[in-house]
Amino acid sequence: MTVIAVRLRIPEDVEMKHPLVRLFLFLSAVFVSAALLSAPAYAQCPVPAPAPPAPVCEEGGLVFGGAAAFTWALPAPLCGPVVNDALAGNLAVAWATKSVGASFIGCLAGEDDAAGPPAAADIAVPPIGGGFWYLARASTPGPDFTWNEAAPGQAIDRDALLAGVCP
Amino acid sequence: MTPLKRHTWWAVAAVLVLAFFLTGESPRATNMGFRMNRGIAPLGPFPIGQNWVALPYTNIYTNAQDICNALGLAPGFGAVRQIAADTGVTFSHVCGNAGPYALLTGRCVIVLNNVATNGILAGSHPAAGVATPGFTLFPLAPPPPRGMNLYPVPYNSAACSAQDLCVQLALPATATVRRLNAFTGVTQSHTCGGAGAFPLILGECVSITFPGGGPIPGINPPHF
Repeated sequence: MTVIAVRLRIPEDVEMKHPLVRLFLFLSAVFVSAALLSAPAYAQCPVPAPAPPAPVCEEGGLVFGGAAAFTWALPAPLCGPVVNDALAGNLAVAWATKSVGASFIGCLAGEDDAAGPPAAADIAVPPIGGGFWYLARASTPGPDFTWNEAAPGQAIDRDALLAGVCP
Repeated sequence: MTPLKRHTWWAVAAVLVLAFFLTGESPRATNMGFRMNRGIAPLGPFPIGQNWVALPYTNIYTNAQDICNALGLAPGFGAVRQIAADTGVTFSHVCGNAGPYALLTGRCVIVLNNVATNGILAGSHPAAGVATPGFTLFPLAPPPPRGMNLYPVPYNSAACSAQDLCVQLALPATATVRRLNAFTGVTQSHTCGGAGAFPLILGECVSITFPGGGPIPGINPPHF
């Protein structure tokens, strides 16, 4: 479209009819058009996974008590006696992918079907500019519960992306 | 209509209680926690060394000295500042001094230090649906820096660019989002709806300003 517009605006005078001038204008229009069409308007986010279903028996709020240790609350009593899972992932990878699947590192030590108190710690030091993310959930000898949150706003389905980890 | 028998009412009540606990109506939620190793650029010709550091919304730091300690800022040289965008008041603390101010929730911390340093920042982001009033944004008004909202982008934000923030935070078309690279002093600016939005960086804040209108209520933006 830009090429056509430029060509139509060429006046009917001698200078503009010079082949070199017309070639210069034509090439300029081509380069400008290519630049406009190829430059992204802004950084594009990865396409998110489907939104999660309503969770069942999710854990309570995860809070840190220091630079390495954190705790969380057990699910509602009607969910029955539970054990705990807690896992970690690479924060820089999660930030870049806007997801948790590819950034998963592993279950935290002692937190794969752990029967103890809902608490975990990680003293690993990430590189400067990097970090770790953490999630916790309730589990049972039978089914596991959820890594998901209770209300809209979570952009991905963590359960689908973390299926099979910390079983 | 035949009245329901007593045991039927008990059964209905039990079902309602069970539904309450199983449908997520309680405030429980599997929110995400973080530990980040945040690098700090040393002070140089302004604005080099003005580090706009994002903290997790729920964190372990109660006052400005806690940030000095976490990032290893030099006593007598390092400083921590915050801007209350609703009043324009700037809070400041020189590391090691007495009487550090209580940190403002949901507000970026501006960190200065004489040498490069780094440290672990820990905390968590509220679950979806949990109120985050500290994220409330205020319009520009005198005196400066009233209305300069230094917004700490959540560590699990689903936003990639300044334009994503414009959409997710429902910013007006007159809003401007800015980023400061503390290592180079270079700033990037984006007007909502315009082209050329810059990408967001993990652990950084952005400045959000908009003229006129009322405050934009703090929301818990989409996250992964």
